[in-house]
This record gives sequence, structure tokens and C-alpha cells, in this order.
Amino acid sequence: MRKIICSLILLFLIYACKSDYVGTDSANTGRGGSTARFTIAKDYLYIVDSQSLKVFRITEPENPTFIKRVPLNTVVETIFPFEGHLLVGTQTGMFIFSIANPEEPARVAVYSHIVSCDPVVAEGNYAYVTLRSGNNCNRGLNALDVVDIRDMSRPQLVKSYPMQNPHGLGVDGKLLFVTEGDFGLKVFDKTNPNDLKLIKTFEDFTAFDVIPDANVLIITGKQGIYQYSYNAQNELKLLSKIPIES
Amino acid sequence: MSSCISEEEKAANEKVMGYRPVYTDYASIRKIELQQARGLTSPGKIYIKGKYLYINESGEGIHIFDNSDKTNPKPVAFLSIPVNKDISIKDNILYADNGDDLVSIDISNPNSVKVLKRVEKAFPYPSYPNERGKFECVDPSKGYVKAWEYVELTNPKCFR
Repeated sequence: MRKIICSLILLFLIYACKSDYVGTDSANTGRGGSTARFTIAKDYLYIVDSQSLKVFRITEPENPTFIKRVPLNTVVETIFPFEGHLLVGTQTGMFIFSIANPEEPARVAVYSHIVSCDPVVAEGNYAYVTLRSGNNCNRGLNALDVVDIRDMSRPQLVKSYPMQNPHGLGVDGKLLFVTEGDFGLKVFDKTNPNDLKLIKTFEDFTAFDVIPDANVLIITGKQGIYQYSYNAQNELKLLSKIPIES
Repeated sequence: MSSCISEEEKAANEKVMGYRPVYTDYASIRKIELQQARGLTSPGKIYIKGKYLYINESGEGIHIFDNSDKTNPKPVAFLSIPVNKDISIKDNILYADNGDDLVSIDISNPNSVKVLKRVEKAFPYPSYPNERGKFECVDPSKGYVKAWEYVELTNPKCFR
């Protein structure tokens, strides 16, 4: 009898640990913008520096431990975690790594494009890659590529849309937000990836990066940090601005 | 007189515009502390977790805002982390780059933080400027390169 009770308690403990583990992933981890170079997936911290991807184990959160360096041989800019994968934005394209084995990121594909600066985000079946011309990435092209990633090992370009100077981007539901530097913020309806519809352009501020969060858009700009509410009717309303002091 | 200066000497005194590393000693860049909230000057990346909004001040640290009321984010404190650009947070632990080190910081109490661990040399030492051109070669024994200044240099040995 005691054995059965012990087994039951053990089973309960295992179950409790498991459910707790599942919950840990999103609820206890914060979120950055599309230009982030740090990201956390489960018990690992992934960091991209100029030329490589680095893995740190944070099973003991207070004691991050270096595990591995994956050289990338290109200029690495951003990292975005997505469904057991890492989407890494580099100046030559988007690298897709599987983190099925979290300590051994395995490259499953590279979506190549011309040399440019390019944050990437993803939602559902698609990745959204921005290409920007600039000082260190000047090929004169500014664009947004919608890439089908249903099969992570075979990313396929769906369509490329011309942009003005895209610095960052974010997605939420059917909306896609692109920060266009001095050209402001563009809001698209992304329901049809073959036909993104520009809903609105905000040109009254310079916008660099963006985090959409539960119907509030947080935007970094030259003049400050803006928060806008947005809704299904595509209305954006300014909630607050944290100004920059000169 | 000028004819007495050899070609080599001329080259040694060649003056060109280029980049010079601005060093800071490791003791000062490793000083992480909570300070009074202050205004934004040159904001970098942003990060959200729970009710807090974290705004990087380029190369200096993190402005912490209580963003419970998004119409009125309230400044809580400034977490000074020299040469910081990126952060990520899990539970109550904030991970940040601090020069070429990675640090973990306990932020359970946003009014009193504690550095838990420092992973030294986690990131590459900045051995060249972002911009192309001639520059003064770095000397890591002088400390960490906090910035690059564009000045007149005498016969710089490095370029990219």
C-alpha cells in the first residue's frame, strides 16, 4: 500500500514539475523588439554577436553557463525565437536553426538575400524579413520579404514589397507594423501574404523599433518612446509618450 | 632642412583623419548600480516583462518604468550598466551585456538589485570601429574600448 502511495506521490510530482516547466516558457520570459540580439527559449539564453551565435544554459538562472559558440561567417544582427527554432537575421540572409537539442543549434536552412540590414519576425506560416540600405549595408534596396516557413528547411519567398527605410517590425493577429525610420510607421493588413494591404502611415515621428503587446504598440523613435493602442478596426490612438530630454 | 628628413620619417609622421579607441578601465565599466530615475537621452532597445518597460540608454544602462498604466508610464529607477546594449529577462533575473562580459542581475526588487554572476569575455573585444578607414590599433592592456573618436592620427597602423 505504502508503495502505491509513494508511486502516486512520485507521479504527481513528475506531473507537477512537467506542467510547471511548460508554463515557464512564455509567462516568465519577457519580450524585446525585432532588433534584439538576446533571446531566451526555455532554459537557454541565445545571443548573437557580430559573427556568431552563442548558447548559455540558464537552468540555474543566477548562474548562466557558456555552452557553445556557433560561427556564422557573416554579420549577424538579430535573433527571433519561433516554434522550436531561432530565426537569425544577418546581412546576407535569414538563418534558421532548430533548437530541438537546445545545446546544439542545428542550421536547417538559410534564406539568402542581397547584402542589407535585416531584422526578422514570424507568425503563423510566415516570416517577415526587412531589408534596409544604410551605412554598412548599402545596396540601395529597401524591402519587406514575406517568406513561407511552413517547411522550416525550405523557406520560400512569397512576395517582396518595396519599403522606404525599414528598421524594425512586429506582428499581431492580422496586423503587421513596420518602422520606417524617418518615414514613420506603416500598418499593414497581412491577411493575404500575397497582397499585404497598407492601412495607414504615421509620418509625424521617426520610428526605429516596435513591440506589439496585447493591443498596445510600443515604438522607439528619435523623439521618444510612444505607446499606441490599436484594435480590430485598425484605429491607433496615442496613449503616452516618454520624451527624450536634450 | 626638409631635405634632411628621410622618406621613412615622413611616413612615420603622416597625419590622417581616422578612428582612435577611447579606453575605460574594467573596474569602472564593471560598476553596476541602481540610480535615481533620469530622463532619456539616447534610447536604444526596448524590452517588456510583466508590468515593467525597460528602455536601454545607449551604452549606459536601463531605464525601468512601471507601465501598469500605459497612458502614464512611471519612472522607477535607472539601472546603470556601462557599455550595455541588450537585455533579456527570465523570472526575476536580467541578463545583460556589460562591455565584453555577460552579467546576471537579480531584479526581484526594482529598488535594490544584485549582480549574481559575471561571465567574463563572453563577447568579442571591440578591436575595430564600425566605420571603415584607418584607425589606431587597439591595446587591450589599456582597458575596454568604450567608444571611437574620429580625430587626426599620426601614422595609424590599422585599417579596415
